[in-house]
Amino acid sequence: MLRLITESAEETSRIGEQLGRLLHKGSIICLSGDLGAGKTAFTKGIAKGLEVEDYVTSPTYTIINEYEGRLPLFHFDVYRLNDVEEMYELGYEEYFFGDGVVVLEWADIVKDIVPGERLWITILNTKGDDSREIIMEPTGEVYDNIVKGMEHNENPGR
Amino acid sequence: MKILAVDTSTSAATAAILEDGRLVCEYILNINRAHSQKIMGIIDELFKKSGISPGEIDLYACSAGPGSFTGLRIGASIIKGMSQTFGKPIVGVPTLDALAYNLYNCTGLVCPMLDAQRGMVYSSLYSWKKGKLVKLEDYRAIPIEELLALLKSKNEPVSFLGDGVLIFEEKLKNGLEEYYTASADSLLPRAASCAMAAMDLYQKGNIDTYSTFKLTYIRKSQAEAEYEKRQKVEIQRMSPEDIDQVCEIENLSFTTPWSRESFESELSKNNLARYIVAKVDGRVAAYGGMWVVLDEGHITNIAVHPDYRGRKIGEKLVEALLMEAKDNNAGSITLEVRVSNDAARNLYKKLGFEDSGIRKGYYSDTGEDAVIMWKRLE
Repeated sequence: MLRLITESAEETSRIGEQLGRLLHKGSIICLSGDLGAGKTAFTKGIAKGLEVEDYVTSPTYTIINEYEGRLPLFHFDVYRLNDVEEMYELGYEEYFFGDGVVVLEWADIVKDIVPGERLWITILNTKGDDSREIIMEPTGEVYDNIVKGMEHNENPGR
Repeated sequence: MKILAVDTSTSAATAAILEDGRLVCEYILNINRAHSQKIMGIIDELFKKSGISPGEIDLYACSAGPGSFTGLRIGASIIKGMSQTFGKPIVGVPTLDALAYNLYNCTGLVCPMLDAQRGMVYSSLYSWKKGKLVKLEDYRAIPIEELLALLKSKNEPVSFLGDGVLIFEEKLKNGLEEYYTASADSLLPRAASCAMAAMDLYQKGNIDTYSTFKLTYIRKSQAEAEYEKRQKVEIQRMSPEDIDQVCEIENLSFTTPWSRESFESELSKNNLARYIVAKVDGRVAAYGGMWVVLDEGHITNIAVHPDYRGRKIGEKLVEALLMEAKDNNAGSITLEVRVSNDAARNLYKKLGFEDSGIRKGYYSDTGEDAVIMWKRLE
């Protein structure tokens, strides 16, 4: 587990960018955190790290947005889903077991279908200001290595 | 008769116009993804190059599934939009049938297979009998091994096509004696084949409108099998022997857990209390409790062991408590849940509970508010 503290939205996004650079084909990133915690801002950072040039917006209404970058980015926001069964109806497997990177906002809602190996990231607005606590919990060797890559960055966030 | 056919069920985006059995033009773009950005441009190009205008099209054809869910939806929405605009009918062509048309009049068995992820393919089986396509198996999602075992038992040469071939080529080599794979020009769906299959379906009267045309998604039996496996949960009344394991879950789940003595006294001394456990393989995976006070059930606690979360065990447990409450003549049931606990709130909502108020600062550990939820029992 890796715990990072950032002091501004830009810094939070920068952590996402660093992470984005470390991801590979098939990576699954689960994001949890309250409304306004900065999940979408963090995803924008990941997109930047994946060299996505498009403007990234929240897929709250479209549920899935796709972007082309160094790898395809599949950005899910499952806030509006009522049941994990709806993920099957969406055809989520094409994305989760496909050739890109999956970022899943509100991952808790569809925990049933989240693969055992993944990187689970919780973003907390502990102080109520622009600072954030980012907790990264990897499962599986691939994700352990990604988190190690984040740790090795001497001054993560700056 | 002019047919415009579109297939976006795989990595290839393809469209074609067929006029009275003559292929006027066909476009195949196999550069993966972003079909939504490309397919309209492709159709536009076909109209421009052929000199045919959209209003001249008499029939729209579209691959109807199985295949990539997103890909199918892109094709279907475009065809539906055009069908509605120009008031012309649609023929939905099962994707695997259309693929079989890529190998028209091929001898032996024809086995189209499309990638369904995780070692599975969407597949069916066909043979051509004097220019007529005969379907031998239903459309289904099937593990590749199972499909190969089936084909082996048929003892006939098989021709494979579809994007599944690209993924499972090695398995085919080791699994079958005599088989062939389609060449590059016929491996993936082609709109021309879709249009030809559509013509045959049209003559048989399989015609839809923009409002009746539906895609056939095949749900994976694997997903369902996994789901069922996870359902093997036994609900029992909590007994004193369960308390050790219950305390373990309690400690893992709550910052201010109940003590062992609390559970013991709930079981032995409290006549109002009803406690149940959910067991998987004999191990306590979850437990829940309720007090039945007059005609109201008050759910006191529900917790699922971290190892068993995300398997719908909580749902089963709450359903069992609802039954228990009914059996005790309760007319309604209530509980409190942390405002931030979306997963639990969604579950209760799904089971018919409604928010009825807030208890400010209810949770002493963080001072978080509780949502009070109620459900009426019939």
